[in-house]
Amino acid sequence: MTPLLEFDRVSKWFRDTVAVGDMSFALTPGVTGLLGHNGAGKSTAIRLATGLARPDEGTVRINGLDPRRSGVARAAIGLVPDGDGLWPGLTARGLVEACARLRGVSDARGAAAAALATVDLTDVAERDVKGFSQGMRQRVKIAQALVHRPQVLILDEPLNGLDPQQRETVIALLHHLGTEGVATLFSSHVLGEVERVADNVLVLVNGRLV
Amino acid sequence: MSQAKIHDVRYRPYEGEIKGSTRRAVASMARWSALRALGARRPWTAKIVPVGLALVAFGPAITVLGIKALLGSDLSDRLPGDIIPFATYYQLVAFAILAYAAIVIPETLCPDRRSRVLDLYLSTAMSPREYVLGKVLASAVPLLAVTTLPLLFLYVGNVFFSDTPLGYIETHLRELPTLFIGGILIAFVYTLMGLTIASLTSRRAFATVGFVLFLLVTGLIGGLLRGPLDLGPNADLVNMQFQPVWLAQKIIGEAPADAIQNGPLQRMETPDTALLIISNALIVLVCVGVLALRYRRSDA
Repeated sequence: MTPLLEFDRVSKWFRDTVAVGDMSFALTPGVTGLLGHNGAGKSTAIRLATGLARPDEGTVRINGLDPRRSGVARAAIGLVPDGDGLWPGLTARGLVEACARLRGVSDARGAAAAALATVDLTDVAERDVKGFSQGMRQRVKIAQALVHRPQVLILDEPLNGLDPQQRETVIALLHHLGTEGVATLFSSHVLGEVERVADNVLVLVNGRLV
Repeated sequence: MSQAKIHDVRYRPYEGEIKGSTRRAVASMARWSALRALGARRPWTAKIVPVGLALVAFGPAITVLGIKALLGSDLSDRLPGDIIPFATYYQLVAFAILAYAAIVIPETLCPDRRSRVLDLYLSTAMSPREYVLGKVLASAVPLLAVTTLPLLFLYVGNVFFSDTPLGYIETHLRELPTLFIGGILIAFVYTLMGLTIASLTSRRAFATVGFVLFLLVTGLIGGLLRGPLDLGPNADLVNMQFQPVWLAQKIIGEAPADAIQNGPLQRMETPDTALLIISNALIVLVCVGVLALRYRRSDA
């Protein structure tokens, strides 16, 4: 079986600093945690996985294809970026619908409604995301990542800002996605969080898997 | 203490069609970026500038046609053949075109970097090239309305107010396609210039100030070379303010001498046509090169 996401001896450095060194792993359906301290190279690994950064050595493959070169490979990805990466001035529904259109979903409205229901935001779908709490924004980001039925879901610190109940819901959702055939890679610097969520754990120290 | 268990995660995967082509995604992004830049779903203050600039661009055409409507055909026949020749129209509305490029175009590009949503775009099937293409469309299409529609409005108005509408069309038929070509050229070149400067920063204000400074400095250098140093009209090739406008004027054709002498505008000697073609082509090449560098996947 071809791994959904595969790193083969991937290295990435910025001048003299090794951000990611000789990293190899292969993901099949299920939840994999990427655990590391701040600055360990988690975000760089995520950028490499999504094709946003070029490996200096080694190869990254999604369904056997290079995500930097193949639109088909990138179309299989759902990304929940770190930080506030949301378009300003849009409602939650407008934002998830826009993402659905970007990803070629024919029924963008229906898919957006379903994705917002998954993260329990139906009641506030018509509100501007600018006024959302951090937890709500985080859930909007998860909704936009799920809207096109991704095969590979990549989440950068997805539990930040969520209250305990929302955390439980998201954790249950990630587990469920594994049973639906989705390979999930999520990063965190909290050991307990990773232990609870992940079936497999990749521990990253100074850019290297240990 | 018992732990709660979530039995239904409500995940209903999308079962419908997913189109492989990114064409629709690019068109969707372009439409959305253009609407946002024009003030859609934003406070009324964000709509003032684009609407005001469009009105300024239509102003001369409305004025000319208003005069003709008020004076009637008898009196308006005593006015110079064309009160404002098409070739000189751009000089009148250059402010609106440049202001649009300086103020509205950065709005299509800068917020993506500032809001850190570039990763979301580029993690989809859309390539950086397609992203830039979408932004060019988002900026150039509304600008086309400013560079083309007022002249077409004036053309149609002139036909309408002419004693012999068919005769007017016969006389000015050659100008009609050049109005489109000139308008497209101006919109395209200024769009690329505006986007290139906007690509260098995530702050709209910096992009606007940068664009204005760029035009002012090159204009000043051009003026110095042409004036005090007396290097002739070709020295104006370093002046980036009006390169596409001058070339569009050459394409549309010089206005008749009597119209210029008697009309509100005096003819200004501009650089040679061949040199203007080369300089505009160079501007396009440099802009495309900078945009390609700024939107490489490794730097996104």
